[in-house]
Amino acid sequence: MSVTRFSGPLLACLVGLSSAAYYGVVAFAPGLLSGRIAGIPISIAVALGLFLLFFAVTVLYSRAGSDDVPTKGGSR
Amino acid sequence: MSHLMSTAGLFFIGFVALTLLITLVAARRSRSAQDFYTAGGQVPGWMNGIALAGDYLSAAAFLGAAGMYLSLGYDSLAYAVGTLAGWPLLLLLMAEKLRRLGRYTVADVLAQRFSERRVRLMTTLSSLTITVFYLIVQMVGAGKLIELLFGLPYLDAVVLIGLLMVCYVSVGGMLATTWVQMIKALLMMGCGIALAAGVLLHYAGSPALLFDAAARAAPAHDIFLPSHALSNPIDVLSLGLGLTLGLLGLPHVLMRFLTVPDERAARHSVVWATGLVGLFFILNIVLGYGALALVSPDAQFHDGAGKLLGGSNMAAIHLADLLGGATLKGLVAAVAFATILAVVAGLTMAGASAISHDLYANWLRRGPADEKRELAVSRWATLGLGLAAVLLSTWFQNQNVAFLLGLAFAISASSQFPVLLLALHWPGLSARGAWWGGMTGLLAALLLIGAGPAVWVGVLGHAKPLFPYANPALFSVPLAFLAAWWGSRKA
Repeated sequence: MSVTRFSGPLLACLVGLSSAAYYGVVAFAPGLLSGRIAGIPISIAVALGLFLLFFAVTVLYSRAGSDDVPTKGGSR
Repeated sequence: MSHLMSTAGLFFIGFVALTLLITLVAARRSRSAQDFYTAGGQVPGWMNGIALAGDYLSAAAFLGAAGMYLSLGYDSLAYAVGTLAGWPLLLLLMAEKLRRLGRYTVADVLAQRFSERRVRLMTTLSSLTITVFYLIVQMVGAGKLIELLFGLPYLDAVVLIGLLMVCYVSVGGMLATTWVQMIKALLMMGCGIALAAGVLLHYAGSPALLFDAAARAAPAHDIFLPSHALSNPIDVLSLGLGLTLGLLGLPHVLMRFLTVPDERAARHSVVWATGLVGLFFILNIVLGYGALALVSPDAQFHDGAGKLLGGSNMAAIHLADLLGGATLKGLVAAVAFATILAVVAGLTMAGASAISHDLYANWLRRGPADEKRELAVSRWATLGLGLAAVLLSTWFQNQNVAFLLGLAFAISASSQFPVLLLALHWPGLSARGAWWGGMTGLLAALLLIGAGPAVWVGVLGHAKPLFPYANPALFSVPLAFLAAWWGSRKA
C-alpha cells in the first residue's frame, strides 16, 4: 500500500492542476492555443496531450497498486 | 426513408432482441438482493471497465459532442478534457475506498461513518436529482433521434424507451445492465471507428487535410479556438470545475465499484474505462470536424432556414448518411439508440436502488426490510423514474444534450462529490457537516441553474437570466465544502 499511498495525492494534484491550467488558458488566454504543429492545431494537440497524461496516471497508479494485497469488501 | 427505416429498424430490433435475451438469462442468475443491486459483486475488472465506459458514453458523448463540434467547433473538445480528467481523480480519490466501504449504494458508504438518517436522506435526494437530470439528457437525445428517423412523435419515442428500460432493470437487475452496457460500449466504439475511418479516408488519411477542410467550411470564426459560448472566463472555469469533479459524484458510475470483487479489480476498471472513453473522445475529434467539413456545407442536411435537420444533435447521423448511405446511417442510428437505452437502464438502476434500498428500507423502515418487498419497491421505483424522466424531458427538448450534461455534472460536483470526498478523507466531518454540505450544494446548484440562462431564459422564456452564468459549479462546489466544514465545526 505504501507506493499508492505516497503517489495517490501527488498524482491527484498533478491531474487537478493540469485540468485547472487548461481551463485557465481557455478562460483567460485562449490565444495561446492558436497555431499549428505539423498541420495539427495546437489546441487539439494540447487536449490530446492531456488525454495521454490522464490515461498514463491511471495506468501508473493501477500498476503501483497491483503490488498490494487485494482487500475484499468488508461490509458484504 | 423506407429503406432507412428498414435498416435502422432491423439493427434496432436485433439489439433489443439480444438485450432482452440477456436480461432473461441475467434474471435467472439474480436470486438475492446482492445479485440484483451489485451483480453479486463478482464482475471482473475489465468487464466492469467496459461497462463503466458504456455507462459514461451517453447520448451526449455521441450525438451531443458531434453536434457541438459542428455548431461551436473546439468547445466540444474543451468539454471532453474536463470529463476525462475526472477518471484519474475518481481512481486516486475514491474507487478503492468505495469498494472497501460500500454495500449496495453510495449512501451505504456514508452510513459506514454516520448512522443519522438525515445523512442517508440527503445522499438519496442528491442521487435521485442527479439521476433524473441525467435521464432527461438521455431522453432528449432519444426523442430527437427517433423523431428524425422514424417520424414518431417525441412522447411516443420516449415512452418506448421507458418501457424497455423498465424491462431491463426490473427483470435483470445489475447483471443485465452490466452486460447490456458492455455490448453497447463495444458497438459504439465500432461505430466511432467506422465513422472516423470514413472521414479520414475522405481526406487521404491525413488529419491535417481534414482540419484544413473544416476550417474552410466555417470561415467566419476560428473553429480550433473556444467559441463565443466560452468567452466568459468565469463561465469557463465553472464549466471546467463541474466537468472535472462531476464524474466523482455520479451515482450510476460510483455504484459500479460495488460490483467488483476487490480493490485491484476496482483499479483495473478505471484503467479500462479511461482508455476506452479517451479513445472515443479522440474518435470524436475526427467525427466532429468531419461533420463540420462535410455535413455543414451540404444543403441536403439543412432545412429552408439553413438549420440542420433534426437539430445539432443529429450531426453524427447525417455524417453517417453521407459516408455510408442509408445502411451506415441506420447502423449508427440504431447504435445511438442502443446507447441511450443502455445508459438509461444504468441510471434507472442507480435511481431505483436509491429509492428502494436507501429511501424505503433504510430511511423509511429504519433498517433491513424484507428482501422481496424491497425488490418490489425497486421495480415500482423504476416505473416512476421512467415516467418522471419522460415528462421532464419535454421541457428541455430543444437544448444541446452535451450542454445539459454539463448541468447534470454541476449538480453532481456540488452535492454528492464534496460530502463523499470529505467522508472518505477527512476524519473531522460530522453528520451535521455532511447534511449541511450535501443540502447546500444541491440547493445552490439547483437554484443557480434555475435562475441561469438554461432554465430562466431557455425554458421559462424570460429575456435575461437572474444568475448570469450558465454553469453554477464555481459557486456551488465551494459553498458545499464551506457548509460541510461549518456544520462540522459547530458539531
